[in-house]
Amino acid sequence: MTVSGSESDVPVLSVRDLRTHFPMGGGLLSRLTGKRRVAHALDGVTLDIRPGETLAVIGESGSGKSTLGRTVLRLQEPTSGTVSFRGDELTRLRREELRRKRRHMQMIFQNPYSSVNRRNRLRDIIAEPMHVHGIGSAESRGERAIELLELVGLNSDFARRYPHEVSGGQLQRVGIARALATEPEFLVADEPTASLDVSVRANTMNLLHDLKQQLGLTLMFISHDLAVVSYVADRIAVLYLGRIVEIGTKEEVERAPQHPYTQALLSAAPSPDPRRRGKASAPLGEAPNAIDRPSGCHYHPRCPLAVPVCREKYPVLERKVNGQQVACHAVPSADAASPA
Amino acid sequence: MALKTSRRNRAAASSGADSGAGTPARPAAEAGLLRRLAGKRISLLSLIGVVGFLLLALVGPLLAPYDPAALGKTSLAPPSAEHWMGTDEVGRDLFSRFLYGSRVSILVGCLAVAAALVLGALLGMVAGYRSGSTADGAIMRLMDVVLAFPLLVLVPVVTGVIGSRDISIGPLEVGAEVQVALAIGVALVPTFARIARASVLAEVREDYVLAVRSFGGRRRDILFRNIMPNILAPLVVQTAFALAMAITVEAAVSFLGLGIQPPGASWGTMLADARTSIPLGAWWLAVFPSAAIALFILACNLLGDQLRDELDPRTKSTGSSRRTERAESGSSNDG
Repeated sequence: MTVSGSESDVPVLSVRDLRTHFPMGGGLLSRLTGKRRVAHALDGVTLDIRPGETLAVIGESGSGKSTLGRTVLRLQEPTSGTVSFRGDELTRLRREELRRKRRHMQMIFQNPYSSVNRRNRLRDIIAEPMHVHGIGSAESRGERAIELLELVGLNSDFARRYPHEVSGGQLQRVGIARALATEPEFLVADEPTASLDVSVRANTMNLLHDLKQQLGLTLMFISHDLAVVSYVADRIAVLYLGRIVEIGTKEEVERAPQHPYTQALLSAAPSPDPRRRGKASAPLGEAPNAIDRPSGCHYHPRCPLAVPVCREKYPVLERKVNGQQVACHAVPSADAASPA
Repeated sequence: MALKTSRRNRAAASSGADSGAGTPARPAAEAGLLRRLAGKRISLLSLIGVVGFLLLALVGPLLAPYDPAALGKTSLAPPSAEHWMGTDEVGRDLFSRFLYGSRVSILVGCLAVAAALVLGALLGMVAGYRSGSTADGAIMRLMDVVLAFPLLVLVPVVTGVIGSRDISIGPLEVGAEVQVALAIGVALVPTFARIARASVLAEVREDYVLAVRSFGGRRRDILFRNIMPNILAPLVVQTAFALAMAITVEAAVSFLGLGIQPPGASWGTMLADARTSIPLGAWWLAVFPSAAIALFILACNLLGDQLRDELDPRTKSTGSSRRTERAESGSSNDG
């Protein structure tokens, strides 16, 4: 991957061994005995996102994908590890430095209704990021807000409306316009279509895709929906219980998924391609739990390929025969002579 | 059941039409609030009551026929065409004293509530935004200390400490009335602080707060531009109740001789003056200030109830919601 690859420019975002752990309340007994239970939402994630690229992060609920999105923007403080944006280590910045940086990296939220202030008009919602960064005058911000509305395909009549007066799809466009208001270069989209009607999902995805091309954005796209991801992604990272189990280009991961978990996810998604049918691997079964994780490879209780070593040791994320990086003992490594 | 539903629909439709311009009924803007209050008999009456008393405080003394401190010829004269509310022991015109006293009582009440609202909301918002921090702990424990004192003890003590005489801070002269008002204000701060803190606690978990943070909002952007407008409703409701409370406390403290000092008039001091004359049959000395206190408090409390129904539908009581419904469908018939 880009860790070693140098054919492309400096990554926009570099994440190194990022861990975010949440202490759980636990009962009185566990607190008295000093055994604080910890949810390992992120447990050593390393990845790079190159300029202009869309990295899709997929995983089921509880895999830590939303936590990843929030931690890379430092909306959630990591427990350890580093995040660098354009060479600046975000995890080290002071509050005010970080605040100014936020202009260049924005977020699109899952639920458009809850992520805007219900008392503000759409124009003011879009103008707010410019206001907090002191960009332009009140008047020029208002004009720019209307430009942005038009950019996301809403006419200027929407400027004076309130959030409850527009549909979810329209409001999500406003969310996108707000994210673009400060001309950021990096966007985290946290399941931007998950709470929308199926009928407007495609529209929203098209819009996001077009804007990305038009403005040269770099995108981290978080989703649980492979069908959505395959439309926008350049690369795909599969997250399972806070760790990347497979990461590679869209083609590598979609055509020849190596990790049994990725295979299960792909086979669970409905596909119009008849050749893919019947290749279903084991059903996903019981949902994972980030507090009491299985020993060794966290996937082994659900894995059809599990071998004894899987119970003992967590596999290293390494390049496999097909090209992508996979964390699995059962998949032969690219350089078979030196297994990790 | 069917009848009930149709009523509700009608009520919803009528309020939707009221706010106009295709605005759905749900969070109709503040502009519609006064109109909605005016559409119901109880809230209209309470609104008229409160506004009427506030006007009385502002313009009342201009209407006074006599100097409130001037001693007249006839003492303890019953109400007549000449003295609408009669005269007191030393022959002062009671109506004039009542007009001046109303101004003092109401302005003290308003100032006290304003001070409590500003200070309480500020402290509560800081505590709520940084819940669990040392600042939160310190602020809320301080509020507990204030709450631990009975109002009627706390206010005289605070006025006693600052001394109820005029103090001048530079060119600014702080009258005894202001000191009493501030003392009452201090006593009312904890209620506002608690309401503000609880409301902020609920709001900070909302995604929109995270969104403001994500695009680089400062704490003041988050608190004052985004959270504050969303927590105003419960504070406004409390303001109405607090106004009633402030008036009661002022009257009680002044009655005890620990608030407004003679010869200054307020509803409380007028009642205190009446004490010695009531056995002589001078009922008018007690009736007018008492009635004013009772009416003002009643109006404030009713207005508070109605504001709560309008602004904070979650805490709507079943009884008043039924009343609201009837009143609203009634207004739709009128319109």
